[in-house]
Amino acid sequence: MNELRPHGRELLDAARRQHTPSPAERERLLSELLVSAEPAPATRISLVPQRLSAASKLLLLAALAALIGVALYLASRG
Amino acid sequence: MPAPPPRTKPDEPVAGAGSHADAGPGGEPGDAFPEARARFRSACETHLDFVWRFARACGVEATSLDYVVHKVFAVLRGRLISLDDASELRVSIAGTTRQVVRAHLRQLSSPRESFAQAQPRPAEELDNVAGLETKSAGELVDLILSAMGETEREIFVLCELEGFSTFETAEALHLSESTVRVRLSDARKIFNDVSARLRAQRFWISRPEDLP
Repeated sequence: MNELRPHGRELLDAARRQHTPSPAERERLLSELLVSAEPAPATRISLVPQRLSAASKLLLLAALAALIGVALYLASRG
Repeated sequence: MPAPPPRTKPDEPVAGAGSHADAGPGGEPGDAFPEARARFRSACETHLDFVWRFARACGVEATSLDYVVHKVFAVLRGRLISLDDASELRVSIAGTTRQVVRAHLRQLSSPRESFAQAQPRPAEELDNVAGLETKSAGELVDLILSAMGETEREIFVLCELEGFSTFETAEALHLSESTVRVRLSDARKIFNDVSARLRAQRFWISRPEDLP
């Protein structure tokens, strides 16, 4: 297998250093990436129903049951 | 012996990547998933430089590097939870970067230009490079890499610039290890030949006046 010559290796090492982002660039990108990974406001809103209190859940259940009852009553009459 | 198939699929389509809906619960690094968030932060800190260099060496222009880096990490966000091993993560990041870079370059150019871009530049074209004496090491390496085909360039950069093993490179690029070895050998030969050619040209340009 071919191997790299010493001056080629030196050239590569120098290029690697040059092509690495500067500390300031790195810091900027890193903070942008972390900000972009934050959940969007829409996602936060979608989590709200999971945090309903027990009373609210009970109320919701009762409303649903009433709705089903009304629907069944209307269906039997019509 | 061919490399075993990778456990992850770094080359999955990237369309639609980055949306929270696509990331799934395992990949959402929000408040509800502190572990995923910590993993994402750690992956960014560890691999940001690599993604930047690899994308640049594969031909992404400086003005688009930010976009490519963001896209790569957006794709990775959804996969981090399933990647336990550090080497596995690095391989997955390499595969994703390659996929994003290729898609980006194809998007920028017409099919004909895209085909030409994937083809190696003839070595003769590198005989008369303007301003060669003032070019930096990074620019010289870019020139040399342009004499390689797309896959050879990717293999060379991963193995020689980033220290990947041939096995890891094979996994990242979905090639067999023997193919990687052969292509790497070809790429090293091109690198040695073209760098010697450029070195001779530089010497000739900056030769002393009294040299016959």
